[in-house]
Amino acid sequence: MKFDFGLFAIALALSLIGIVIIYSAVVGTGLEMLYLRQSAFLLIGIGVMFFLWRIPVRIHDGLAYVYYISIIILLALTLFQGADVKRWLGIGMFKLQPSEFSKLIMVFALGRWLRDHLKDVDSIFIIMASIFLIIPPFFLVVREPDLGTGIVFSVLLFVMLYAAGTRPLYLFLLLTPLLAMVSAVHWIVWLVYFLILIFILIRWRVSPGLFIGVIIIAIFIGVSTPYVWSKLHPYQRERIMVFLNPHHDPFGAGYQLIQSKIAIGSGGILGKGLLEGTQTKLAFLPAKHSDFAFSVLGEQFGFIGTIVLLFLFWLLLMKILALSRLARTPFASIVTMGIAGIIFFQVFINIAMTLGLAPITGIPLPFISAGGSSLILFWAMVGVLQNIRSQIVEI
Amino acid sequence: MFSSKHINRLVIVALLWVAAIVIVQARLVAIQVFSAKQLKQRAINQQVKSKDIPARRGSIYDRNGKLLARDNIFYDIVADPQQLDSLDTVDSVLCQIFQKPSGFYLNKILPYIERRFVYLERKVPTPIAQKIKSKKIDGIYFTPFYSRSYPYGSLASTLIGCVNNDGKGIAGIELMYDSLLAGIPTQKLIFTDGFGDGYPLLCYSTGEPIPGNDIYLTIDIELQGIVETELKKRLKETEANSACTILLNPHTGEVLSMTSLPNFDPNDYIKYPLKMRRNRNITDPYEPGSIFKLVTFAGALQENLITTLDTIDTHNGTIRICGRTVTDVHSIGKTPARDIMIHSSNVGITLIAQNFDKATFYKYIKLFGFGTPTNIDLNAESSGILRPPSKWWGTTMATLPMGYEVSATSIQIASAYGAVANDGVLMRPYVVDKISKFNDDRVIDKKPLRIRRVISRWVADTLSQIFREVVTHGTAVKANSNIIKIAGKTGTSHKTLIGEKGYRTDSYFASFVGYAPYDDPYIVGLVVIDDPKTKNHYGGYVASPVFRNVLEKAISAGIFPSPSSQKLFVYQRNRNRDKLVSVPNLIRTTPEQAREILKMRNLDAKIYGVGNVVIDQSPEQGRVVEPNSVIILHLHQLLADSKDTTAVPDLVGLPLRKAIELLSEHNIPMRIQGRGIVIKQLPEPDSIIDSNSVCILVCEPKGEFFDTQKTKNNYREN
Repeated sequence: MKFDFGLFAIALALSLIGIVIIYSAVVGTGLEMLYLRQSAFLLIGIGVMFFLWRIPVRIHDGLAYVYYISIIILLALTLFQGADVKRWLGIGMFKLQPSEFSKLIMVFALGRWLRDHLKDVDSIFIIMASIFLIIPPFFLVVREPDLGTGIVFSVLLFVMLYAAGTRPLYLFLLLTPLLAMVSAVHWIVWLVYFLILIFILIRWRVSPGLFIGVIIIAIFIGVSTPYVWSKLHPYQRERIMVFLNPHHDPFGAGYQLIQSKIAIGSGGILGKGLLEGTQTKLAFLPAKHSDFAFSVLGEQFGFIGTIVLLFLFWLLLMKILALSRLARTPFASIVTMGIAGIIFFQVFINIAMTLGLAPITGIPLPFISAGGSSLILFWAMVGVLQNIRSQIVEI
Repeated sequence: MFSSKHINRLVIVALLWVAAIVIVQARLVAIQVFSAKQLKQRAINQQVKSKDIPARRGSIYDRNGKLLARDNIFYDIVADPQQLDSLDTVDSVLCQIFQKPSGFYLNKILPYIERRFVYLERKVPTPIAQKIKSKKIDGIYFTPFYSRSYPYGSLASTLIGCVNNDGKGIAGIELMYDSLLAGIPTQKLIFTDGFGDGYPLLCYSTGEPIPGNDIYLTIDIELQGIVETELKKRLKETEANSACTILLNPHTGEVLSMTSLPNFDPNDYIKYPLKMRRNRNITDPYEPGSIFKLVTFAGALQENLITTLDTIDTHNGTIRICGRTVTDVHSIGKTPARDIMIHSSNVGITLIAQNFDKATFYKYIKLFGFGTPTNIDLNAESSGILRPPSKWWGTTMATLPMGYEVSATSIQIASAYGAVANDGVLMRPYVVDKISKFNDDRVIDKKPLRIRRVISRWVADTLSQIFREVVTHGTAVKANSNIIKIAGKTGTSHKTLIGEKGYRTDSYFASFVGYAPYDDPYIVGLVVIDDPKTKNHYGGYVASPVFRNVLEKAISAGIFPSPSSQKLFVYQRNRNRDKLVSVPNLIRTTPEQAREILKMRNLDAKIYGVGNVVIDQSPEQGRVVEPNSVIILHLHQLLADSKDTTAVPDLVGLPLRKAIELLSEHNIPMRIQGRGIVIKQLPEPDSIIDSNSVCILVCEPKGEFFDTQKTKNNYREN
């Protein structure tokens, strides 16, 4: 069986960088065991990769709905706990986050569904069924609360539909409720959006039923958004407001973002050196070993360090996309695209968040951020990709 | 599935991915390259807090080295819970030292166990802090700070002043000499974490703070104590508003005591209203009244306008002059001029003043220092009010001679009478005797400053005789003492109406100014009592007994000499004799040699006559004088016997005993400075000297060439 050492090496390099960052973030704070845990999880993750390398993807194809049911049960079980934040399920000495693994399961489940209806991916029924497929896990993870994973599901839906060949127009129409919500900040903005929407619907000759449906949804959301906004949790509103203007509340929620920017920026071009990150050491940086690991890297290794990291992620994504082109079955191809989409989205959103380009959502940086479940998940994805790679017949 | 459509989609996804990377990369360039400098600064600003390490403020002493104000060091005891090994040990050690129930400190630390900074005890005195330090507990830190204390409390408080909570002088000497007392603090840079807690370990300081200089005042705190007790008593008896006294050494201008009541406790100054912190002696001028007659009378004597025995007709105690009616309290009729002063006749002094032209009168007022600040080394000195003759009114020549239409501060009046007591020479008053620099043997001595001769010696002597009679049978008989012969002058002046023209008829300043002993004064003093409520409101009754009582008590306390030993008494600048120098034997030395020797002993030479040899010196050998005194040398030309010449041997490096033997062999007379090893000789080796010359040997104890203090002691023993 073939083994893609390049893919393995990139994933390993990223994981080791992650351990170094976690070490430098936690040393001297009494949380030193975190980087040892991360190392242990790396070993487990590599084991999982080798295991999945030997499992043919068609097995996942066959078992996709079994996985799906199982993960929904696990996610539901997670919620039956006493804690305020219900993300973890205890298995032996380690606690795992089912929500992390549900990402890969959803890749399989959506892949299976779309593979079965490859000819009808433009039909409203198939698209709607895909949406209904992610709704149960979506609500279960958002209840935990883990909004980040919920967002990943939504993005995954788009990526998988796109990979399966759905018309871009329909993908756009799927987005229209969201756009209607965003444009509802002011009635003039919403009106402009509404006119553009009608123009697009007419230009691409959408069927009358769909036309009316889209228009009704746009109007409904435009009207109801202000009401929903008033019903949001204050902290949720705060996060959105802070994203729009981080200086709005420098010692509250905006504090994290400002501190992150100070950390990255004060690293300069060459960085302050390993273990010399004062922002990190002096606890100005929040969640420095998990969500803000990139800031820790930026402070200590500077612009050079962040470029190297981005290059590794770029390389990883390019390899996965190449794999998708060569995959032997439609299922493998779509799954590869889904995995690429998750990594792509998480890398971009996490880094953009530390740089103030995206709201703070608690989406971890793949392979880097501290967190056993996340690390094992990404290594599991590498394992699935290794199997897909091994089945490619070299021309 | 492997259609071109799928490949197109892959390309689009790849392009999207590249676009995302480009966006992130652009943002990174903006933040890490272009904003790096600014963000680095922000990081430092929020992480590093600078904290002043205070410098110890200099102490203030009185003339005898009694401590008046000092900074005491205290410690805040701070813990870094992350560094503490065993909380129980810390708790038990501290509870034992501070006698707290066990667990007291545990409860202080536990809520902040995640933090890095907890105050355990504040303002702990040094010995206790030392005790804890000796236990060497990791994670316990000591933050030193200074707190000023004034051991004598309110005594001389208006003179000494006080410091505010930041340790800055805000009144009196503390304010005037703030920059000298303050010292130079340094800064400590402390890293602070996201919770605002300092990391005691991560800090850098910019060097040791330099303590301030010590200041020695001219006042005698024991004398001050006597003055304040007497004055407080009198203030209470007379139910007056406030009272002031100044005691000066008339020959130097040193202020021996300065009191302004009511005063305050500088240890707790915040409790007292601002006006109690004022040194009225300096800041509050008042119309002196009869005390001012000094100027008129002295001027007239000096200008030969009158003699003391000229008969003056006071017209039954009332006269209309310059459009104003002047009256006496008691009519004295036709009387010699001296009685005008003795009985303080307003009519008489006004008549005498009519002999002046305005400019001459004004000249004498200015000569005595009125209308000009004395430049005493204290803040906020008022110059009083004195209008130039061009702005005088028609009635001025009727009122000014008896001390109205002019205002003066206590220090101005005391200085003016000091001039009389000092044979007619006005001295500048001062309160700081010396400043001793930290870490430096240098002492800045304040020298008395002669301002000018105001009146001739004979005028001063005449006035002293008259002022003595004021006390023996004039207006100040209450000041007459059996113990010491006091001279003085009383004053009673109407207070002006506030906000209106004119004077109050029911409110007075009662004052007495005097000096003693009248024929050889060593002390001059002024007592002013503001608005006494007694029936007899005259200065002679209200103020003069205070001066007498203070003098008598100071004599019995040994502060002032008793009259029997008076002739031997020299009021020394310092009662410790360490700084004094003995006068060397300079006879037969050349003028060059004499200068050299005097220079070594911090003395100055003044040479009279022409010649090659010193034949006389004053003061003579062995007299103890102050440093920088002038030694007068008389020269004479001695003709040498040309046959009797010798070459001086080289003596440098020899022990003194050897050098003496050698010079004796050559029959060369010698003068020896110090003992030990010869380090210098005059004249140089091998110079030819004649029989009239001497050889000077400068010696230093072995191995201590630079220990000048030791050498000085040796000089004294010689």
